[in-house]
Amino acid sequence: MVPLLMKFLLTIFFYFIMLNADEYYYENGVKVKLIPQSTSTPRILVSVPITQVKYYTNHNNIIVGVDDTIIASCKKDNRCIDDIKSQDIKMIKLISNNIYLITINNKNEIFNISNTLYELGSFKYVHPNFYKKKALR
Amino acid sequence: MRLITYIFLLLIFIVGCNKKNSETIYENLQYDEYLWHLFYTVSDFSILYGISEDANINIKNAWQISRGSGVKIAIIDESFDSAHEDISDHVILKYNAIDESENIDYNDSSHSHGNSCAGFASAIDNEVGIIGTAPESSLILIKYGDDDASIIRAFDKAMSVGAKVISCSWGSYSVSESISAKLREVYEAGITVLFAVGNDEKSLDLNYINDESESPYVIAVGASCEDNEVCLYSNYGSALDVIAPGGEHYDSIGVLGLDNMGDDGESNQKELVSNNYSFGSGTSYATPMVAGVVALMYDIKSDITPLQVKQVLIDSAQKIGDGVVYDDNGFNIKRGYGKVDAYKAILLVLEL
Repeated sequence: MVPLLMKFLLTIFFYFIMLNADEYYYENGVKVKLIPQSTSTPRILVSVPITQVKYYTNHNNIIVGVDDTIIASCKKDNRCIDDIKSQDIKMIKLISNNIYLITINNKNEIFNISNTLYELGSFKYVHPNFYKKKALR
Repeated sequence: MRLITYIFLLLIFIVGCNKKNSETIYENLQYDEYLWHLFYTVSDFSILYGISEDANINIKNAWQISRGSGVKIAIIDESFDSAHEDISDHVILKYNAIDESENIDYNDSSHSHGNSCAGFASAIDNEVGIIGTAPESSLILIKYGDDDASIIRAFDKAMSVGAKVISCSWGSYSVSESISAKLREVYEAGITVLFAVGNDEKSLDLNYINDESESPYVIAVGASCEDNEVCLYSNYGSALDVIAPGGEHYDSIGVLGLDNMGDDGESNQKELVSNNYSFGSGTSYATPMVAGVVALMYDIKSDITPLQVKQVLIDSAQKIGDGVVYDDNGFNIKRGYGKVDAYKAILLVLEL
């Protein structure tokens, strides 16, 4: 009886941890959870050293990589640059019309900073700069 | 009377010359008998590989009206051999979206994918190799990376240098919000983007799939085969727009495209063609073929919108498949609105 109870409590505990993990981001205004992959995940990317990237499985059941960069686009007429500068960032680069590639100082804060920026309300979207292996078709 | 005779003879001469010109467009092609995706040739090859007389996209007559002259087609892919004999003269720009350099060429001999795609759209009408569906178009070759930022840079570069058509023969099954937004921006700029639907024989309508080809701002292309039916491997779903020759189910031959040049291109020649060319298959190759057809449309009507392009392709498509039911809108879940018919599409554009 006790082992069964322990097993039940442990399951509940890990489920709680999963639900409250920081590994989520916003997509179309909705929180999307990511499940961390083990370090033994095979290298799936062709252009980035594995040591720079953390891997997760996303809601599409696809393995995605995350490094220390974030992609953000401001809402029209919104001065979101000041919001970006308020975070612990290393560099901001304009890579397209109103699209910024933000490099942060501590890559462990990638989801925290990404989500904090989005929740400020001045962005059309903010999410980690995801690495995904493209299937040639 | 003599004057009338001279005028009559002169008219016959002029008509004769025009007819000759139209017939010699592709007569010097090295491998024309293997280009079943473009036109049918009576040959042992066609019989051996079960190639249907109707498996092609009916492009001969379209070329009498348009050849995509000067229309810029961007091919976004993994890597290229931009010096290939059948495309090099068409390449007007090379861009590496990872490091923003011009270095796009392969460093691994297995990477002929981008080259093949470029060739199916724009291979030069010359005495070597094959011919693209838009044989007078220009090529912008763009190498992408794995991250969202490089994909954004790739589309941005294509837009900034005047591409009217962008062909993408890849997919992730999981589109980031930033990429979805970029596809919309490209569409609203009047540029037509095409995506291959993939070769995994699965429905893109499954809840957990969110593929680039499902964006409402792109044209989703599947593959048809040598027997003029949809290829078994071709993905499908409610977002599929049209199909075009991709080839090779039931152990057939596939479509003939560009390989890497020389020894690096030694693969799948079937003892029929040189190392610079190879037979391959997939929705990857169907997509740039259609991109070339779209370039023909822009050649005729430079201000045609992506929405009009899609509608023309849909309205002109051939309903293939014996006994196959298309719904009231002319749609079938595995075949989209049917197989591309280049000539009919061009005729519809002329009416716009």
